[in-house]
Amino acid sequence: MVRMILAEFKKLKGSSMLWIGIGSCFILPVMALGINLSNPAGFTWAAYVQQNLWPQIILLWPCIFGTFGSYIFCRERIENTYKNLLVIPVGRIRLTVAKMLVMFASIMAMAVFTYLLNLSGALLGVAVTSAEFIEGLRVYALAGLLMFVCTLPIMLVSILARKGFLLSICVSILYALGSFLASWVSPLASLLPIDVAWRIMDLHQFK
Amino acid sequence: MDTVLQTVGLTKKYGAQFAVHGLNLNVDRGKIYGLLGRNGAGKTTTIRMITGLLQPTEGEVVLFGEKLKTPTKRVFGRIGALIESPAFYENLTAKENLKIIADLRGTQAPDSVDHALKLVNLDQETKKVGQFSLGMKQRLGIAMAMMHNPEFLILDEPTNGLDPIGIQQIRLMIRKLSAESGVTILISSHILSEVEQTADKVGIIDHGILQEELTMDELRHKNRHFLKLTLSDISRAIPILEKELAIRDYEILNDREVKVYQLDMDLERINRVLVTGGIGVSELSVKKAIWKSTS
Repeated sequence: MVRMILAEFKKLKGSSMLWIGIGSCFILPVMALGINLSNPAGFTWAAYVQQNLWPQIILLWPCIFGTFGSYIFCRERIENTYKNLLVIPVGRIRLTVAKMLVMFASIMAMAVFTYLLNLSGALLGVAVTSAEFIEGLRVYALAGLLMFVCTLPIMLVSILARKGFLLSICVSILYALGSFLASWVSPLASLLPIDVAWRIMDLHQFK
Repeated sequence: MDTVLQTVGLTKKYGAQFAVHGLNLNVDRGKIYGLLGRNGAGKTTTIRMITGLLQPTEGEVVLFGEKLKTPTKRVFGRIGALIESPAFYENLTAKENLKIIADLRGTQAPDSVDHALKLVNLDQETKKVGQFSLGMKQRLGIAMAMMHNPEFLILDEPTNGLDPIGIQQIRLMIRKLSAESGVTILISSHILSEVEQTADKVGIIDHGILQEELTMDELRHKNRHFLKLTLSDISRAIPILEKELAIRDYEILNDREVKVYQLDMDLERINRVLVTGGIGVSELSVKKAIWKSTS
């Protein structure tokens, strides 16, 4: 299983999806910097990272993580490399588990990296103690874990649909937008995983 | 003779359509078996069932004496396969692609990847596979199939997309593997000359049915160019052909038609002698071999 997981990571090397994933981590921190640079609002660390977290969870991460996860799962079929693996042989269940673990590790890594990029808030005078830093890391790690669970439906659609990659992107975007709109409608919001994740995050925000 | 691969009544059906029907193949250890057939004859479907990529509707596959139900490492570790067009992770180099497969297999020698790339002249390539030509991808596919020194190598149209030099190199490599290392090889093709220059035994498949299995000598004998004669009276014509034209290598098809395999004859002389002998000649033509190219 370890070999399979390492092989999955190696497959990502140099891929455009990897760069998209890494690049997406910069979006909110850079936007927050850009918006507040001309008029720094005297944020605390908790408030600064929390304000960047909400749009990540409700809009950006479902799109990025959904697409990223679909790429991991769909590429064997799209690039027709499945037969190379099955002839080794590599079991389908073990392969699926390995891909799930890689997807989880990638999502957690992107969540943590996004959190670290919030340190650019120092340019706005946002100061952070080590205790606050660790607390913020806990919050973002929990968010990453919840987002992994929330993107599983997108993976399922991608695997079952057996269509190209484009469908996964469309499903991810619709899922994210639908969750965003539903967040304003209380009964509906309790049905959608992303809105549930946000409410859990709300309960577990900075102490 | 030790059999590496045996298929018993192997069948694949899609709805009412048979892609492969009742196939009984036998591939002997250390030999090269050529599976010859037109495009769409069922060659790749057969290979996919042999390698466990496709479930047969009926029948069984026996590999190294074991019935194949699901692929096991014990059996499949001894097989290398190139199936249809080779596929790779296009964002990686040739070496990186092979290393992933080698790592997943876990049983290969440390230098097996470099050795396999050298064998197919891709050891100096640093480009990503996405930039490879079809021929380069084909060679990389062969390297991937061979790099773990399998006992049984399955190659589905291995010379597709290769230039004449590449084809020659692959042919030599296949023969060398069989002769020096005793590797058993199953090679499929729609081109007779490909199979003719490599295989020991040929199975001809058409519309999913194995038409016949022949040695290469038998196939060459059956597949020769011939002179087709349509005559008014075969029984009187044959003694004339034998005595006056010294024709010995012929085959009577029916009471009007005969195939003559001696092509060094003067056609005008044949016609003149037969007509002078009172035999009506309604057809006298050279026919081409059936399996030269079957696509």
